[in-house]
Amino acid sequence: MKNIFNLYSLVLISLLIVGNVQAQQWTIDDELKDATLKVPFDEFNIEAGKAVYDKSCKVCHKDMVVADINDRVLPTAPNLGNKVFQTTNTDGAIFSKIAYGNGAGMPPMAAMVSEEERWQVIAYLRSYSESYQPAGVAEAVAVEKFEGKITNITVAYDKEKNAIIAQLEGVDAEGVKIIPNNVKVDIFVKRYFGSLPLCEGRKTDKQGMISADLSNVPTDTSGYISVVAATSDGSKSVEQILEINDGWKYVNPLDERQLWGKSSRTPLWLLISYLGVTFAVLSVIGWAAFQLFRIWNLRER
Amino acid sequence: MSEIIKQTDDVIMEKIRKDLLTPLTTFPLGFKIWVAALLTMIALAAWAYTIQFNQGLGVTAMRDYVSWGIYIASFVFFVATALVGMLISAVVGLLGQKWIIPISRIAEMIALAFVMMAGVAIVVDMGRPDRVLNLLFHGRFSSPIIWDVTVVNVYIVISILLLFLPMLPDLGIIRNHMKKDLPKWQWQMYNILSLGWVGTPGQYKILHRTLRVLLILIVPVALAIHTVTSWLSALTLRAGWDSTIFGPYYVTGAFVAGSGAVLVAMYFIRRAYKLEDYITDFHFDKMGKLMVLVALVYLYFNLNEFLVPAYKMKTADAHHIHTLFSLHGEYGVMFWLTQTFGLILPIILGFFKRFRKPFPMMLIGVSLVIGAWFKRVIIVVPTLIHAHLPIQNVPESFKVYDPTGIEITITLGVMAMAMLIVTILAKIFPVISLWEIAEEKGVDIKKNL
Repeated sequence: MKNIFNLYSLVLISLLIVGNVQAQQWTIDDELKDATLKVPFDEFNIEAGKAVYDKSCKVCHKDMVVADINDRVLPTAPNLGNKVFQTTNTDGAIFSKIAYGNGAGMPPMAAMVSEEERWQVIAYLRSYSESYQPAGVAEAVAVEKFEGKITNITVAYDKEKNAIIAQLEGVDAEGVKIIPNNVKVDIFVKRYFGSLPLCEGRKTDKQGMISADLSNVPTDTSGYISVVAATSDGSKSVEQILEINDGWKYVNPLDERQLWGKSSRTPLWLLISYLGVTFAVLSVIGWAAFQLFRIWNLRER
Repeated sequence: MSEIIKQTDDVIMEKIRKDLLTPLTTFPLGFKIWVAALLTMIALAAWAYTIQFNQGLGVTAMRDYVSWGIYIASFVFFVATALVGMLISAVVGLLGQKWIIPISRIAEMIALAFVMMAGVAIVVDMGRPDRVLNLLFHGRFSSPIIWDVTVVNVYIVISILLLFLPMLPDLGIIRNHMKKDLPKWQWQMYNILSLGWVGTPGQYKILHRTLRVLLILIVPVALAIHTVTSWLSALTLRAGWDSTIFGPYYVTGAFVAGSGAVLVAMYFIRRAYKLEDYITDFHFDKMGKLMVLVALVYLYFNLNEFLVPAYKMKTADAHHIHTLFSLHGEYGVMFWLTQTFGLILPIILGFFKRFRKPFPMMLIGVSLVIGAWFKRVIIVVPTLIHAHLPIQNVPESFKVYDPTGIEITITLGVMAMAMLIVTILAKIFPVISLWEIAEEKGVDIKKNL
């Protein structure tokens, strides 16, 4: 009997272990096993990847550091800068791991991080590897760093996209007009207390333009907002008042029926309950007073 | 045969009339001293009130933080004690308990006097009593204060009806038998108030039905009056008040206070009017048991009310609880004395039959009533001192509350007024229902007694 029990326990424990190991297994798509980076391994993608990493990965993986082996223990997730990780995983394997997770500590991120963002994150991860060689499309594109001087920023509102468009103008060292590409710009909406950032450190495109989404940003009661656009290095800054819409409609909560409102705006349910109950009780009292009169009527005449 | 019954009825009625109506015509020295003492207290309070009226509420110790002092505590106390009318007549009465017959009118008189003084206590607490009518013109229906004003006044009206209606047959008896014993005006008053009561079955039918409806009506109204009174505090977010059980906590506390008041009144009225045949040891025993029952329920609510926040110790609550629980806290001594003499000791003593005798019961009643008043102070005042935001940049006098002499005098005056009303009601009306006692003794009451 005891033996059977032992055997049973052994089977159970084995099953548990297997189950656990299975639960922690990485899922890697066969077609992705040998895939390489699908975006250019350039500064733009590395920076974009850093933004994604900071938003979605850093909370567990912390800052990456170049190291020989993973130097972190749970609950901190592995240091992805370690050489073992970097050399034993293909780009495609990392892509799969991000997308599907391992069913345990690493959650599937497919719903949160788009494919492009995943490739960008991988580019960022690879920037910590000295031995990484980009292949295929992943030709390193030299990023032109803007060397000139920003002379003007024009800020406009794009109604269709509901976005703020900033157009930069600049000159090079000789004073010849050039399009300021790859210039980091911050755009803010001014408020009473502190500014509301629309975008920070985003780079201008090839036309020297940058666009920042304006969804859910309230205007003043006349429909205006005050926008500040500045280069991230602080060399140029403009402030402009833009007309966005017909104005934010201020609804005074005291104008509606509210518990805290004036008596004339008492919530109906409360008014009906109060008056109803009071009237009902007073009616019964009135009825009782009438009974006194009936008793008086029955007196001996 | 019918001749004999008729004679017996007359004999019984003769004795009841003699026992219960004599106090209406006699004014012994003790009664005069008692009334004179009450009038003196009221006169003193009136003088103090003129000072307060002329100089404003600055003469009290109430300041920005403690804006509700012993006036509001007294208001809550009066409302609480007034609830006993509903407890005795309605709850116990509707349950078919016959032993309440000799004491139900005393309870009703206490209820009427105390609920009227509750209204007075509110006006006394106003710096500008001339603006009291603004409550009607500018009151907000969303405010529990309006609900309170409504329900207090409704309770006064129902209390008057519940006192007056069952008295009709008694007033008829007085009208029939006491014309030569009373001053003319007084007899005329009874004559008018009796509403021509002749005790026909039709009149009794109306009386019983109306009484029954009113007794049922007063249960929700009485629950409402004290629940709404508790909401004045409990609907605000403050340490010690922010409680979901404040309604039932107040109601059960009210029953304890009211039982105490009835025990005291029973004892003194019985002694003064020599009613030992009517209010017997049996009634004190029953009242004592009722008191223990309601006090046990109140104790249970006290456990909830204090131990739940004391276990969690949220910041402001912790401070509040500390001042109550610790003997070094501002209200520690008062709290434990109140809980001991106003709740725990009466329960323990009430378990023993030897303490459910008239005299010990009266002492316990006094202890309950005084404890009840101090309990209301403990509910109202300490919370106000423990605001959620720190009290700073104010004079030292704002941070503590020590009632001034004027405040105490006025409060005592309002209490004297309540006792005077009970005294007068018990003097001009029979304190025990004659016809109900007669019915108990088997007299055929459906005739002109």
